Amino acid sequence: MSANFPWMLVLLVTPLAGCGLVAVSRTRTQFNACAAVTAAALLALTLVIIDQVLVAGPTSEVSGLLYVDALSALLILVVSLVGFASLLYSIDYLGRSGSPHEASLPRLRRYYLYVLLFLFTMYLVAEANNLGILWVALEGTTLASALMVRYYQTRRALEASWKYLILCSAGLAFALFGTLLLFLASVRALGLGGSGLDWTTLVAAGSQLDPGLVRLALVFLFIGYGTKAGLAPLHNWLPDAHSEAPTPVSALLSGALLNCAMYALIRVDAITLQIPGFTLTHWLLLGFGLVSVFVAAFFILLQRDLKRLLAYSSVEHMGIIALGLAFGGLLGIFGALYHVLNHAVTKAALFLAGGNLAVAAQTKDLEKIQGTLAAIPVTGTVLLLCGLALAGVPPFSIFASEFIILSAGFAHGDAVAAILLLVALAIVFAGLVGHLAHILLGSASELRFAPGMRKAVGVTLGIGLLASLAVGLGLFLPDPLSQLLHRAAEVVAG
Amino acid sequence: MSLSSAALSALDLSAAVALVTAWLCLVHRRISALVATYAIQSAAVAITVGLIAYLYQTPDLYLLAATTFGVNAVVLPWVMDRVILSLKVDRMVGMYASVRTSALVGLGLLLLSVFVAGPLAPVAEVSSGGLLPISMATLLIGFFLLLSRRKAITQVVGLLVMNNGILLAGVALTYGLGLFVELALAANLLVLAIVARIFLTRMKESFDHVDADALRALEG
Repeated sequence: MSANFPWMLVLLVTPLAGCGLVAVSRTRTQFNACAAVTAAALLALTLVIIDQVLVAGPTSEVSGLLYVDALSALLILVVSLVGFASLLYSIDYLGRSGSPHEASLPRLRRYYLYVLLFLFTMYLVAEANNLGILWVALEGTTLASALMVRYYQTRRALEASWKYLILCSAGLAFALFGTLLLFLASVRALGLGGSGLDWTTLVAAGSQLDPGLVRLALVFLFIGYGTKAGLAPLHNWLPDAHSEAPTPVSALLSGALLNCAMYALIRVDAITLQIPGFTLTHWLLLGFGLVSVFVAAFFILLQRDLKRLLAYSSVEHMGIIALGLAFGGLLGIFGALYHVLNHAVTKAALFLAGGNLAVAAQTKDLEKIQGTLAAIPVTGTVLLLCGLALAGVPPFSIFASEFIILSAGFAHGDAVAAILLLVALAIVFAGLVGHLAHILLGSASELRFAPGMRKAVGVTLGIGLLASLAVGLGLFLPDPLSQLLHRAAEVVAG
Repeated sequence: MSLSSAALSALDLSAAVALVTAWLCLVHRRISALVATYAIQSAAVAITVGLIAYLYQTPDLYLLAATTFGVNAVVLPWVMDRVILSLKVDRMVGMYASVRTSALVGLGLLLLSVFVAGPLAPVAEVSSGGLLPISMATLLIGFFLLLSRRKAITQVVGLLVMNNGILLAGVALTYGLGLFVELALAANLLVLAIVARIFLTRMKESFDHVDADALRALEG
């Protein structure tokens, strides 16, 4: 395949084409087929793009508005993996007739349209070469996903979606203000070239940017994108939105969307790392990171709702990623990016398997679920393995990246923060293992799958892919993936 | 007095009106008064943008000024007034913070903005040096309004006031260059889309009771 072919455009067009297909489809089978075909195409295109980036380096299209380097490719990979699994899962969860949350035809059509639009906006986040377009794309993700949070139309779902919409829109208004200040800094350093918000321009101009302006910009950018990334204390919308959304959407929110916002912060970090003696980014990342892991640890201990438990764990892991970036150096950044991937697959697998469990148990109340391993052994095993992975047990993937992040902390003079992180990890470990033991062990008579959920190919494929990555990436990191992560870390470190 | 120095004075005046009306949003007890104040604020922002378009000869900004006036100062207040009329029960602004506290917080946010953004003002491109602190204060006041008011519709007004702050900041910092005009228009349209979604769907029915007491079900 040609190294110059504009695959990134194809990737952007594919979800829109999928929308078109869904719009002209008439039957349930056709809707599901559209979803499956689009999911497969997106995953395949992602592999092609990664190959292209590894062979030919960064490429740009549409006169430099779109830009894909190793860091973008990593985000594309995360979105595609979670998107693929969620779409396949959706087919068995609410697509087919007889599925546990079977949707009426008009609702199913709308659901697939919104999911594909949501995927489109997330790919746009990854491919934007410009802080302005990035902002528009992130605002787009809010709109598309808020529509899906209110999918069940219950009172709680409407409230969760309202809270999500208002808080994230307000956050993004702050981010736009920060973006404008950064633009001013760039114009003052470089004159009005017209490309004052491009990554490439801003990173290159780093040392000439006015630190005073950048500091103010940074505060607004962190509040804005931090809200969207679910960093505590700005995480209020997150547990509600994650727990009220349909299960495949929860997986997308947690595994893909949060990382899109984190990606924006990583890009900003990459710019400020070029300013000599600029330490505010380090302190902001450190502060938000530590507050996030501790707030999340506390709520994980007390949690009674399965999906809210997973949602708070996302707050924790976004905090860990922020800490990895704060510890910095090539090692810390590598660890943070590796953690982005590991957390995305593990958490998405858990949300999907947790959806199975909630269907079988007909409740999300952790106190009322018991004996999952005995009653539904396959789902139970996935929950066990991925749950242990999430708690940071070796040799699973999350342990590997947490270990790297902690090493970076001790190596780069942030020993106090690293020790605090260890304490929080220990609390989370205790909380998660306690909850896991309760729901997995014991005898269970009430847990039963509806017949429609039994032979669900999409569910098996989706969860299988994510869970095997969650377990496997800690044992064995394939060479192209390791190269991609290294190059992405170099993009950030400069 | 030449035409452009008159325009400069007018610019200072309209920016000051935008600031004062943003602050006034914090003191209203009735939703309809809040919406009317927001409409005046939007008009002041639109006039500010128009004056900058004239002073710096950037025709793109006339478009922005016109849409701001049309959408933010006329259409949105009109839509919100209709929604208020259709609410059967309570037309008061539900507050977490009293009027007195809100007004004081508003002044505090203004002082903070002057303190933080004031020193940066000389670097802003537009010669009315007050615009950057004013825009920041408007943004923060809008955010406080959003956080401290109970009802969905007042939260929307908070978001819209924040959006006006962004518009002011945009013209103050870039006077319409680069991507800003497109961005600002996009931001406006997105907010409009949000509001439209709310008004055209079931949220409308739960408008008078989407408040903190209802949201408490989801805490923890």
